Amino acid sequence: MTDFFERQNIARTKTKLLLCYFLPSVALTILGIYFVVAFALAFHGFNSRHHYYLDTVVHPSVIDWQLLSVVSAITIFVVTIAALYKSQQLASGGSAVAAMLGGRRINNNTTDADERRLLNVVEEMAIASGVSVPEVYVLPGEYGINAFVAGHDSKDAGLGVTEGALRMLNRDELQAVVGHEFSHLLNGDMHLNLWLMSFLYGILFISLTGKFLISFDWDGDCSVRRRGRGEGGIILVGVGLFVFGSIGYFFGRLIKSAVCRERERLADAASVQFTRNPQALAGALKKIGGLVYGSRITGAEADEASHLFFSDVMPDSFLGLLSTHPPLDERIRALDPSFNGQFEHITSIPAQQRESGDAPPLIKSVNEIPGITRMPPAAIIQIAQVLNDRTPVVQRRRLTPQHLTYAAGLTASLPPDLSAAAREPFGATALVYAMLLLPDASAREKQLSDLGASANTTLMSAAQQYYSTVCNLTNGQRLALINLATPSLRQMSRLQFDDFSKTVQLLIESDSEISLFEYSIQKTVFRYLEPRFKPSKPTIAQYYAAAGLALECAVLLSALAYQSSANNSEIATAFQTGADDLELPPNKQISLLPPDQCNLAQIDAAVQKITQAALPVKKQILNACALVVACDSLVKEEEAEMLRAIADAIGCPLPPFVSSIGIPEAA
Amino acid sequence: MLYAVFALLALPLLAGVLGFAFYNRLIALRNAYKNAFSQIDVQLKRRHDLIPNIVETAKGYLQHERGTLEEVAAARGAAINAAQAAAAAPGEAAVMTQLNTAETNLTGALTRLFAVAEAYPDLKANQVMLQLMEELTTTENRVSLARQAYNDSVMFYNTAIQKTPANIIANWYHFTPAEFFQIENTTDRQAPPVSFS
Repeated sequence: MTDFFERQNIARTKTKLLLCYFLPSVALTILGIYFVVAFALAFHGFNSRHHYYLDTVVHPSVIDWQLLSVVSAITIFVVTIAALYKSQQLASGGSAVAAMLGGRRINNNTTDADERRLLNVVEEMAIASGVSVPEVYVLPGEYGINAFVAGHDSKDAGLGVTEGALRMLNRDELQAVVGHEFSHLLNGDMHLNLWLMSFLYGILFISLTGKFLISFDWDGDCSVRRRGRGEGGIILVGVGLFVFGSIGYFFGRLIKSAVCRERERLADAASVQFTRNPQALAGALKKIGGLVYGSRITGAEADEASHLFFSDVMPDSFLGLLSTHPPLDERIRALDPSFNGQFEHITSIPAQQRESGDAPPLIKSVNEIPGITRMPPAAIIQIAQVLNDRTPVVQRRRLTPQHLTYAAGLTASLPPDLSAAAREPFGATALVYAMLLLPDASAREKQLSDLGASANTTLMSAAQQYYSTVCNLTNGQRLALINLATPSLRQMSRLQFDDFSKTVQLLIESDSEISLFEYSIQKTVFRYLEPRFKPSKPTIAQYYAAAGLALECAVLLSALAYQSSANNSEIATAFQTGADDLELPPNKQISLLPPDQCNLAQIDAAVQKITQAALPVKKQILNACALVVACDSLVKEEEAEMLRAIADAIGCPLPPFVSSIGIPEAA
Repeated sequence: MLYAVFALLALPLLAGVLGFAFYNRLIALRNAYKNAFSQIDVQLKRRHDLIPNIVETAKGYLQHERGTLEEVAAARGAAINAAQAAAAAPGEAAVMTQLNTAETNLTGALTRLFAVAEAYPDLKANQVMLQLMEELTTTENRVSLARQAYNDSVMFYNTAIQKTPANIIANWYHFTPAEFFQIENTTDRQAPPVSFS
């Protein structure tokens, strides 16, 4: 059995290879259409050149380049338009897709034990991977075991499970399934899928056009009727478009299905990496095999979204070539080589019976988890060592079981009233305000008076109530709270969101003394909320080298250096370590900026610009930041969490730093 | 000729694409307000669950105010029914009107109960009662925020289905206007409670 890291690499390489197959398939489709058009022109020529076109058909070596370029231009244009239309339709966000599939959103403060358990599993997974908690949906009345994730990316994702999965899987199996879905989320599979589906629709559109041309009632149109020969030509073109469009679509689907199957293998492997519990995932898959309902989804829209699901939504089609998931026993054998292919028959258990049975979710309290709690000093040194070795910190974005245990411990360590508050909009809003209140009592007074009449008084008084608890939290706990709160904050209406952003702005501007961490928190909140309320086009990378962002890097690194130490020479060394790591060209060298040149406004501008950098550049910059933080060989928890907050603000979330992270993992 | 065909195709195609876009938008807006209602629903349930405890605690002190207590209990029963009906069909005019009345009545009954309770210092000092009151206030705050979110979404939806050309699509597919959720504050109309202290 290959180990799961290797399986992930194989899957990634194969995906790239498969995507290359699309090019010849498009080229062949275009060529096919070209011949149809040439043929039509030859036999129903509208001009004197039809003998010439006859030649191009009879002797294919004579290609009319002009016609070919016209045909390819029109085809590519039509395919692009259709694909853009489809992508617009599909890009409506995870919640829209979940609603289309008939999903019911699980309320964050649900009392149903199974739903609570699912929410806990999802929350832990989200906190462990450092992304905001997605909205969770259940597909009521679907008794098959299946799950899906939808949406653009982690900022606007919806995760759904069928009622069958909710009721019939045990906690470990549910965690494995959720881990599988999170792999799709973290690997950007939704984006890939969106792209594939739109492209396929573009090809399909060619055949739809052909169908339209054939079935269009040409006799009804007098002007066309007069030209009998033209009519025949159009129908011929229609048939040709239909045939070649369909063939192209068929091959496109073959490729897409193959890509999907690779991504599923990748997700299975990643799920095992997250949970280190191959038996749980195998158990979930075996339950699908043993269940009468299998993984079927009965909803009308299910077929269109089949690639989103955990397992096939339809019975096998076309020798499995078109199925979007690898066969069940292959998936199980990859996890459990001893599997004999025999599924144990299980029956669906009605919801009521389960209520008394399986115990409700039990998060172990922090103290029960060995090794990982609030990080002890020894662990801090270890992080410093980890950060100091030159492997890029971002490459350690891998989720491990330690992260999950850490996340479970972290959520359990939150004061219960705060985590309850984070689960509904009122409390979540008040919590964010509370985090932005200043520690100094008189400065806080000023903040509140600056807000004046524009603030919602009940919210502000709730924020003040939470303040005393919030100010005792560690930064890690605060970030976890923010992650928990984002789904609730998404429940605001647009007008409420406008109020919210105005209040946050005022709270910050009231005093420029706000800390870098609080600034980052505010940044993170808006990064997750803005796509919901102000849909904008995804940012296109503008910077492909850190050299273009030299000044911005200087601002960020200087600010971090000042945070890490009070000693001047240490500050300078810290900054230099980070700056060296950027490997800037000689004419773009940066030096430590004086404190007044790296204040909040400048940091804000810098972060804003860095978000527009390409991912590798972001990773490079982030790594330099990590080195600055780790330079003094002593990473306080706050520093580590601040690094995460900055990472999140520039759109490159990091999982929490867990003490055992640097230990090489055995497969 | 080929270009003419493409032009001929383009027009109905464009209309169809636009139609779909409008339809999808309306669906999204409708889902938004229905989703917003589910937030209110949870908080309303919480509020309704708190009330029996409050009545139970107050009972020991308010021997002579049975009428007020019964009124609260009755208003709660009506509100629960109305909330259930509304959860089944959020936004529908008839059920929402029913819910508006029921919740307004419940708020009124509670206000009267608390006004009466002012005269009983023992009750006011009761720890359980204080806790319950605090809980009730929090819940009401949450309801009001969730209600605002719902009303905003309803407003966006109602505006969208009235605008041309979306109104044509709305007519075809029977998108009916949704009803707001408003709890009238009866205290505004009542004489303020007088306390002699």
